[in-house]
Amino acid sequence: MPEGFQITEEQALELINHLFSEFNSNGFNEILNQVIGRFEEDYEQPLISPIEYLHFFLSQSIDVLECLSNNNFPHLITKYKEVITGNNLVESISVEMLNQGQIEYYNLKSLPDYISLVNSLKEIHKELLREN
Amino acid sequence: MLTAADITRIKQKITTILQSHAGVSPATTVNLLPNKNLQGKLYEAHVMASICENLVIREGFRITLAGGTNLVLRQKGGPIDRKYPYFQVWDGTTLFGELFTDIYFKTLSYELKGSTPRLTSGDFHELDIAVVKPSLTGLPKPSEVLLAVECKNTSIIKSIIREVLGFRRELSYYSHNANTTSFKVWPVPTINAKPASVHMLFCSDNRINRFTSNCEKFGIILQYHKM
Repeated sequence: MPEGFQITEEQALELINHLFSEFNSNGFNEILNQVIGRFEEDYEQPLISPIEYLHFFLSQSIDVLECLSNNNFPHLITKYKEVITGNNLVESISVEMLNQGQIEYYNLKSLPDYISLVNSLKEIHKELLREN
Repeated sequence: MLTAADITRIKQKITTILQSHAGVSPATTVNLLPNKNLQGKLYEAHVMASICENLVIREGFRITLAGGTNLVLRQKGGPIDRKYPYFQVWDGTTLFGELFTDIYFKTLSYELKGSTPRLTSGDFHELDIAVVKPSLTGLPKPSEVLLAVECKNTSIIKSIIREVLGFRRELSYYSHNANTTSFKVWPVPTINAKPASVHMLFCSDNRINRFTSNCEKFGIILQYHKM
């Protein structure tokens, strides 16, 4: 069990259920799927308590959200500019998409940054881990 | 110990932050493509930048961009198409190779079947990022692929490992002896594969490291990489 968790098993279950419900109802079911997948694929993991599962859920959902977050897109463009020589430099990065038979381009700089969501979840995780 | 009031407050905080991001969640669609698919493309762009950086800094190559300044990643793979900007990889003044995204290559099984003129879906597979020999058209053959890269911005599951092992099977034969690749230092100078293309899987889940030594035996380089 993670040291310093200041909640009961019943409270942990209540929070897990709430997290599942809110992730699902707000379009974050992809995060749930990935966290559940990570748990199921963790063959070395023994059966764990609700408190340990809450710790697992928060740490893994934070990691997944960080992986999907578009933080610092300008740095990505700068990185290309630093390694490319010649007259043509990367100015933008788009995805070509078909929409009802029409080709459209989506600029990847428009993708969301989840850093504020990640930071809020980290705060909650820290509060639950805080020692008396 | 937290009180019932603390739990209520934390639950409210969870609800508030998730509701405030609901409009940009991974399930949100742009046209018909969910954000999560576009986030996969963004990951591809990050991996490609890292590959360019390594080829320049560690391998000593020079890289130029051909065909424009707006990199366009295709939603679906296809043959080499120079209407999309691509990278040229130079070794001094010699064109070493060309770097494309989302292209198909002809499979080894297709060659073994006799390379019939009409390709069916098992005769080719998609490479997220590829460095191939210069001046090619259409679908490269396995012997024309220098570096084949797959990108997974997702949690690693065993089926992904099985997928890359199968992918490698269609790209090269297993070679008990290490063969010399086209690279001096990076990604690797030798590999247990023939043709000796370098096959890499980049993944944003650090659990990929659990499979590194196994895949390396079959000439697949696994790389943990987070955006």
